Amino acid sequence: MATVAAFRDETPSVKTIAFAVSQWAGHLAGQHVDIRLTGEDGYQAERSYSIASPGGTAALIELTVERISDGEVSPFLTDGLALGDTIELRGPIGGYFTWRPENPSPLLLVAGGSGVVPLMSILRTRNKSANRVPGRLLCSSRRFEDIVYREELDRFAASDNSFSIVHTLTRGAPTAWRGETRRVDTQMLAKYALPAAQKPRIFVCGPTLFVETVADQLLALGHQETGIKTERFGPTGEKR
Amino acid sequence: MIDDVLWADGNAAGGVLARFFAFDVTRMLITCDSCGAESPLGALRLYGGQMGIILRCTKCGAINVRALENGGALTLDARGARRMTYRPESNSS
Repeated sequence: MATVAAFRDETPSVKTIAFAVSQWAGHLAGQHVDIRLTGEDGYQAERSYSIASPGGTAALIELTVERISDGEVSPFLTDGLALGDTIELRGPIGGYFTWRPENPSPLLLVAGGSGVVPLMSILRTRNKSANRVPGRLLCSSRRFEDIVYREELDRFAASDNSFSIVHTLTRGAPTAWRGETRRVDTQMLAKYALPAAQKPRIFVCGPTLFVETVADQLLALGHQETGIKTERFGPTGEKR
Repeated sequence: MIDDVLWADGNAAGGVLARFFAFDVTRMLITCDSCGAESPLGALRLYGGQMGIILRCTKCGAINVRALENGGALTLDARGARRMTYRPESNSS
């Protein structure tokens, strides 16, 4: 079980919820939890949500959840919870899509929308550690106001010369925008992805088609399949 | 084309499969019985519904693993996996 400890709005449709967790052995950056809701009629819905807070043993974890209007679980998480409420939460889950700060490989993160959440856990973990191997985040969002963690990402980029962040906005940008303004494509990856010769550890997270496109193009650019870890959100934007 | 957007990654099946295995299965190597391709379970294609999950080979699309939850009973059908290899100490993170 987990108890709601805090809320924070990230964007108009994305909210971070902090949960106090019991019997928690700690988690690795990139892992997720399963949340199960049970209705009064016994109907159950279960979804996976990435952990946003840095890896470690803290008994307070943060999930960042996008409100999917026709979702079964996310509207309850973003709008139906109050401080002190308890929910059925299981985890941490998944040792595959994980990153440890001991990893010496250059780090390339590619995020589509709220796919930035597990990558933020990686970034926060990296920021807390001594790991300063070269890294880059390529982050695709719809509009400027939809960029999740924008100010914190700006601070990371400003305080760490070894890590750079490139934003692209796919549905319109402010007039003074200096980032990219189209979907992540081959040219953009060729420009911003760390060279394949550096054998970066790559994490791609976002909607299924986004992840599929990016992974295919990274392979075409010569990156090794074993170096690319992907996490797709599936058709509804709610994982699973 | 519809199939192209309906799957997630095997990684998301970790919670359901944790009911069958005593260790984290997402790093377990699965050898497809149909084409012989080897892949971490976390990288397989996951198709899911309320009743259960299906994990398919990323190379040939064959069903490798099925897990069903029905009336409190858990059923695991892994006949599409020729081998399952788990190395507890391996750390690819």
